Amino acid sequence: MKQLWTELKPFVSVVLLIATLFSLVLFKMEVRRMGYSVLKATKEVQQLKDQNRLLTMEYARLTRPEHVRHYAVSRLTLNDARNGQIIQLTGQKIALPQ
Amino acid sequence: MKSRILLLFSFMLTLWIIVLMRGAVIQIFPNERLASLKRRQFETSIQIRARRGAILDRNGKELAASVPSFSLFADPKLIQNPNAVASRLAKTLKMRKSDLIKHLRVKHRRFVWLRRQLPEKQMTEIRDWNEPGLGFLEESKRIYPNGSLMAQTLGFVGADGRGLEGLELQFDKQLRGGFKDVLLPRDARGRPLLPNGRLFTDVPDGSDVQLTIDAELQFILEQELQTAFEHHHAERAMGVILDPKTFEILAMATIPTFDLNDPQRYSIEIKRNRPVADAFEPGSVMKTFLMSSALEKHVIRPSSRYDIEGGRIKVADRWVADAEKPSVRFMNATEILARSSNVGATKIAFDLGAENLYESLLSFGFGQKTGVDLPGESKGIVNPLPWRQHLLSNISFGHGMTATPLQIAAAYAAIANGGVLKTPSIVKGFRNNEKQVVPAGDTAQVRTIVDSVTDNTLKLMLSAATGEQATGVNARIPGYPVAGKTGTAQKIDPVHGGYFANAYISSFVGMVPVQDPRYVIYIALDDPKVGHHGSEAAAPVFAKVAQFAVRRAGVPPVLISEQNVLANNEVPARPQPRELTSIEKLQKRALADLNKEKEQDSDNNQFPNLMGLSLREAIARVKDKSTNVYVRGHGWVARTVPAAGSNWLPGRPVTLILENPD
Repeated sequence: MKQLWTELKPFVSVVLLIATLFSLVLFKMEVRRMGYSVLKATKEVQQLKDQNRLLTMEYARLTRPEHVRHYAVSRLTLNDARNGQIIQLTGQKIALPQ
Repeated sequence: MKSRILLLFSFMLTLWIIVLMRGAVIQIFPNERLASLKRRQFETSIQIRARRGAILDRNGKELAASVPSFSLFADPKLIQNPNAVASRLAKTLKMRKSDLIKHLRVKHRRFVWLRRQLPEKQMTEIRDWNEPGLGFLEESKRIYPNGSLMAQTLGFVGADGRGLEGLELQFDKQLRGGFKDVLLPRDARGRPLLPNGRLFTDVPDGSDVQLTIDAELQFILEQELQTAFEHHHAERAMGVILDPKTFEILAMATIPTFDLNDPQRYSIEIKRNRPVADAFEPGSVMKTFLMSSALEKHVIRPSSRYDIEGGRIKVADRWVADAEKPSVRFMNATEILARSSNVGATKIAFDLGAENLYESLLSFGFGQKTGVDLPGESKGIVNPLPWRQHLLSNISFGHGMTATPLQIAAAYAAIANGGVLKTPSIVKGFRNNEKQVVPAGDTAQVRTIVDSVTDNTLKLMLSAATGEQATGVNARIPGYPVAGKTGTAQKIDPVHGGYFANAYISSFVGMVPVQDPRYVIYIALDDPKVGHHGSEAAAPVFAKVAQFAVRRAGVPPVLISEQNVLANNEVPARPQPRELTSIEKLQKRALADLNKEKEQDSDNNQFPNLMGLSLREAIARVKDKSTNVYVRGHGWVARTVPAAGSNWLPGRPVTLILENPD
């Protein structure tokens, strides 16, 4: 048995060396493959950021005071409150906090 | 045989050694030519452009921001059929074909811009043609979602994305951010091999600039100025709103304004930020500072009496007159301020002396820049001493010197702030990439100008200036005491010298509510053709803007009036009804009938409650009043637009929102 092991040792060493080299190559390939995935993901992140910016601007456009007022007056038939229509509650601020 | 083998082996070994040595030389010793060849073959350079930071209002609303866009260029040498390409592009870009052909036929150039800043949709469409010779460069496009809001103060950027005017110019360095050049290895297909995924996400974007401006207040100010500008046929209108506690600029406007998304269309005159850049003779609003100085030096008391001499007085060889002939011979100091008597102001100025008035004006910040973080600030003019008699007289009622609207507003803010003057500011802070706001720094306290006793007396005198008989009566707001002063200054003729015959700058500056001022508002109309007095042109604008501001801020009203429900719930006792005369009974009955008619009309204008009805029932209820009925969802009516009970004009569209209870 001992003799067999002694005879197999060089062979096992070579196999281990080759396996290690293969593993290294595989790891390298995996790193590269993941690099491509990261590149794809970062592009998506950038696209989503850009999209978010566009949507933010669209929201800002839609909520601009001029537009809100125009919508309130023309579509919702709202009017400016007159003095007599405004009731100030005791000690409370009824407007939105500043 | 053996020697041959040895010879061959030696030869091969030598060859290998030579090859290895050459390899070692190439690897170890630098060689520029080979290094550049290697870079070209295995490396790629990527420039990551920084996004220009946004400009936000005090509540985080975007006033300016950048979005990605794509600029189309062409290499005319690679384009086979310029005519066909120009036809396709003209259709997509809505440009003239002749303009495009002109660019595409310039064969000696390898790069021509065809159209800058296209949206992504158009870029994708053109790129899908796979036309050789056409390419895109990603750029950033500046968008101003509010269009013309605050145009002169915000400023704008050029085609290269650099700030050219206003805040865009002032904070260009912070907004612009940096560029990032990254050198990356690439594979055989030219794709970059990422050693670190954060390379693209960690972009050195520019900081966002958060302003002290309140977009809604700004809108109201601009809207009211625009209305007054049109109504009074003025040359222009200006306004500033300051928070007197912090000296933060809440709104700053110049009318006429321009669209920031297309600034090239407008003249440079319209783009001038006049509340900061223009200094003019302010008129009677300066009487306040005369009174302040005279009170501080104990030259006058609010009740000190002066002979107004019929509203006309000779100073050296010139006559100084009041705008209107006074109905009384004597006025006290409070009345001189309230009725804006030039004769009274002149007499107080003579009692005070030029040195004291000069010192007071300088301490209020006139004749020097306020230090606001805006470009192009003017410091105005206060002539150095000595002053001749008529110059002292002129300066006492706001002529013979110049000041900017911001200087005047800041000086009034100092009065509102207990006599303490600070530096006005428009930037609250900078928001970096991690969305943390870095404060722009505390507003520097400049100096205490007047003591609290003088300051309170002055506030009371200014409150009287908005009283019944005073010039500022139109600035009053129901429920909120206002302190302020009108100004009507003759306009300087810069060409011929002297003043224009019938051109004025009408202004009003005031604080509200006077017991604890939250807002200092300056309004000016330049050369109003209809109603040129400050009381007619500027004071009503102040009242409208101030009323909106205090209501919105939730400031409770303090004055008892029929139009307000008061904070203390003290309902005044109703007088006992007396027996009505027969005429009064008839009047009452007629009034009751009229009110009944009004009520019926108002009922017709109210939208009915349709909640819980089926679609058929709901349509049956509204079909007589509107034919534009829109339906959303299924089931029973859950909501309506307009809402039940709200004012509604028959014929307007109605939206029924249905929901199924299940």
